[in-house]
Amino acid sequence: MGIFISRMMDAFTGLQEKRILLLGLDAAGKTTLLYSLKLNECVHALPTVGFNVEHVQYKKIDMTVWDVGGQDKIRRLWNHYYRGTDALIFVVDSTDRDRIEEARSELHKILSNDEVQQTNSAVLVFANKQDLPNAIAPTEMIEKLALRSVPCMNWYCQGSVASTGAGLYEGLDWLNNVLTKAQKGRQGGASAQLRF
Amino acid sequence: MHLTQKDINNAVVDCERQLAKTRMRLKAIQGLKLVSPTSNEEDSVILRKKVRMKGFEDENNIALNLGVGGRGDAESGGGRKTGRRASLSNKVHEKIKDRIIRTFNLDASRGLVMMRENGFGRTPEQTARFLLNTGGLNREMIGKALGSFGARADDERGRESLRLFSEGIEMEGLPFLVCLRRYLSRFKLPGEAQMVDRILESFARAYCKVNPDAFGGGASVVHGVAFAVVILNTDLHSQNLHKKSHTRMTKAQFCDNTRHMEGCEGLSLEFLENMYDDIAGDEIVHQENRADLHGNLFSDSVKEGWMKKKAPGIAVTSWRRRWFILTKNPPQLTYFEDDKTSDPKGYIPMVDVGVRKTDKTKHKKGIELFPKNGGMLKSAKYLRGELVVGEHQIAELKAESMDECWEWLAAINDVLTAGTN
Repeated sequence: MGIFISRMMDAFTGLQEKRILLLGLDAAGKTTLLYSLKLNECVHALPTVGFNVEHVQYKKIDMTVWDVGGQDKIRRLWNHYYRGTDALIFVVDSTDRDRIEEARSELHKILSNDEVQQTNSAVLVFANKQDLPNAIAPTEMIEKLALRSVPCMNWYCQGSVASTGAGLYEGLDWLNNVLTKAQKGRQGGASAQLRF
Repeated sequence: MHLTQKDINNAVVDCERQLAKTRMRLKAIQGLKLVSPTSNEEDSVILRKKVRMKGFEDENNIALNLGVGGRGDAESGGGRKTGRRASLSNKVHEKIKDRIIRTFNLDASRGLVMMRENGFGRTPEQTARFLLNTGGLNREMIGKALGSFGARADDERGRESLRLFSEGIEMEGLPFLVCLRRYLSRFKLPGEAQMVDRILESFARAYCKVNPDAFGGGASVVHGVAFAVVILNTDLHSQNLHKKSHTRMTKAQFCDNTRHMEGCEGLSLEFLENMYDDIAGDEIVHQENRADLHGNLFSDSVKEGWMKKKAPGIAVTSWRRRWFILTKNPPQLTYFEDDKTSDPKGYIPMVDVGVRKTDKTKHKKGIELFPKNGGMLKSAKYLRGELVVGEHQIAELKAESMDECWEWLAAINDVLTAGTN
């Protein structure tokens, strides 16, 4: 009964619950990004032994963000979470030009997963660390990550600085729009440059 | 029936508490005879000569000086030059080690650099030994250090340190979950997937080295199962997962998901089901330790327990129940909201302070701390992560029982006299 009432309330307020996976190579800035989103909320005193998972509410979406990853052989263990995922957030270190190729293959590997393709409708790429010199601009990042070849999915590339929070909410705004709108053609993409 | 790691830990903690209590009682009897008001005054003069109190900014240094002074005492009896030199170098060694521990507790990477520079972590063996055996290290920082090892592909040293750390934990002949629990209780596992992956892989290798026929699939299967267990622990116990939207992983899902992994197809259903029940009934936890803003840990406390602290108000004075921890190094009485929280609320430095039992009030279990040389009693409070210094005429405390009261008095006296020697 309680659940029913709370569901009704959610339907009334238009709050939607979404599962979002947070991905990216080592040191891309995932953790910094996750916790700068959580900055204004209280953090639990006793953290669980396990993976970073946070609950973030932004506008009309109620997101559960999981930090997933690891080597190829254990990737199948995440299948449980790939199932029923609504969106992916992929974080790239824009200054790490040596590993951009590795990041590209990582992203495409996940996107080609059957479970992901079934429910996932959006990929938000954060071209992180834009404040550092020699960072790859979001427009260039689209080419580097071959985002145009992503099939049947909305995607968006947003420049960001996770440590200051710059660009994060712009990205989430896009995600909010895409996830709350009824999906017709699941195509298209864009990028946004971060201005300082 | 088998004992879980948690049961064993609890039993050990219980025993230690009993032992400490007995020790305190003994001291309480001895201490009361030893301490007289006159000797206290003399001590304080010596103390002031030894340590120039500059205020709270320098508290760390004071603590360091006092701590090192105390430790060197054993050797200072012999007046011969060689003995003195040895004790001096020992003192320096201890002092450096102390500083490394404090630095490490605030920032793991800075601590690791400092270890390397000062000869505590030149080789991977030394680094692993330091992380395994040094008392008073912050477990969260140990986790961060382990997670950083091998992050770059060319970090051979780091990978070696991680391997040696994992091999340093006793796992031979023990069941898989007992080992995993024991391993993960030694530090706070960082939450980043890649770090978890590297650490668990190292665990799996170390486990298979001493249990070669585990699971019949070698380290890669052990690694996979360990990873699946950590995912399960997060899924079942994380408070961050929204209760409404998140449906906890079921037993069937767990078995299915784990067997889906390469090399794990052959794992028996019963084994996986038992594992699920084990984790569902008893969360994997690490032993959390307390740390303050200076990187001090409270693992080597002289005494801890509940006491009531008087909070003077304008119209009403109230007694607040707080968890107190008394430490010798640094010499301070720190108090916490309760016995679970890791961040202290504030502390009273045990420098230039006297202690007496109060009899003026109705209750008989009162303890009073007062400034020994006139002036004001210094204290410090943490307000939203900032240290605020305050001054009072006295601090009034109330113990929970008469026994406790004597024990606290003796313990505080002990710390005060240790500081002056």
